[in-house]
Amino acid sequence: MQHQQSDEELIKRFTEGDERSFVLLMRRHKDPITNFAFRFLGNYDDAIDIAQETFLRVYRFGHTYAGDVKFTTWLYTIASNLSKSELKRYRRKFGSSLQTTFRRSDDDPSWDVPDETYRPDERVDNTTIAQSVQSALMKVSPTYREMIILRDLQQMSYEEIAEVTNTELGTVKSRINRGRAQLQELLRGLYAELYPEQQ
Amino acid sequence: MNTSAFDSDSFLREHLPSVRATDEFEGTVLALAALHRLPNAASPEDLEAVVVRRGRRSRRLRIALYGTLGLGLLSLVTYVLTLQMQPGEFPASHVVQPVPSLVIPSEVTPPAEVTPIDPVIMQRVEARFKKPAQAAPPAHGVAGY
Repeated sequence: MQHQQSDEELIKRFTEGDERSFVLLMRRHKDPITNFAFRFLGNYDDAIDIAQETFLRVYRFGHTYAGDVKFTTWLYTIASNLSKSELKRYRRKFGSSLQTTFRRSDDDPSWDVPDETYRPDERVDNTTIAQSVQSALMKVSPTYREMIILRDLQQMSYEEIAEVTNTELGTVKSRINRGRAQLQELLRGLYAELYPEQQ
Repeated sequence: MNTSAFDSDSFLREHLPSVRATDEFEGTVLALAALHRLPNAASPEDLEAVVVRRGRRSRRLRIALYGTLGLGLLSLVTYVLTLQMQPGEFPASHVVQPVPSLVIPSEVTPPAEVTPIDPVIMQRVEARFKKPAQAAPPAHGVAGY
């Protein structure tokens, strides 16, 4: 059986000059990174842009990867920062139309602005349930949304999320709980429709 | 600039000869990576590679150019991009004609997919929203009339 090289081995080979290793890394992670960006931004084209920019950063700054964290942690940190920058750009672009506060948490210094730029994209979510879930996700405040995506969709550990978002472990757990509570509230009607026997 | 003569495959072969893109996603990343490796002076062919992408991609390519090319060249590219995006506002003789895509292969593969929702849940919802089959009308009118 052929040994599959780890991400860390591939990035090391890439920094030593093997560009095929970079392409292998990109093929391995482009879908999860695109998925993360799409779930966070709610726009497929922007998600593709973010994912491509993420890999371009890996290409340009791969030599700065020190190996002290998992490669995926480093990769998601780049994607997360780019996604958040894009969200700020949305806010600047759409201005006060988005400045209605959904909820402001005690431990979150930033305003939790609901992102209303989501437009259902038939190429990705062509079912009612998928659109409903994504639409609800976009109404969760971005700080919580990012952590829910990393935990519940990308299956990251709490420790990895803490590293990616540069947040204390306890804060990560509390924000995930609060985000799930927001999401649960938003999806209450859908859940009742899906599982009437449990009501 | 003879844009029709531009060979998109040769661009990547020249600048990143050891790799090959299998879809548009990979091709775009590799083309941008190749642009970052260019020396300060870009050849006309390289410039064509930059201006070949329009619309959404042009913003990122312009950003890439800030770090790669000189300011004079940047203003030229911006001018060309402007011509491409708003052809109706300029004399036809100044409009750059569409050129073949830099990296889109002849058979475009599907873009990167996002994780689908659990199919079992989707089936339940689709069943929920599906219209019930209409009952057949009575053959001899309605009972009671």
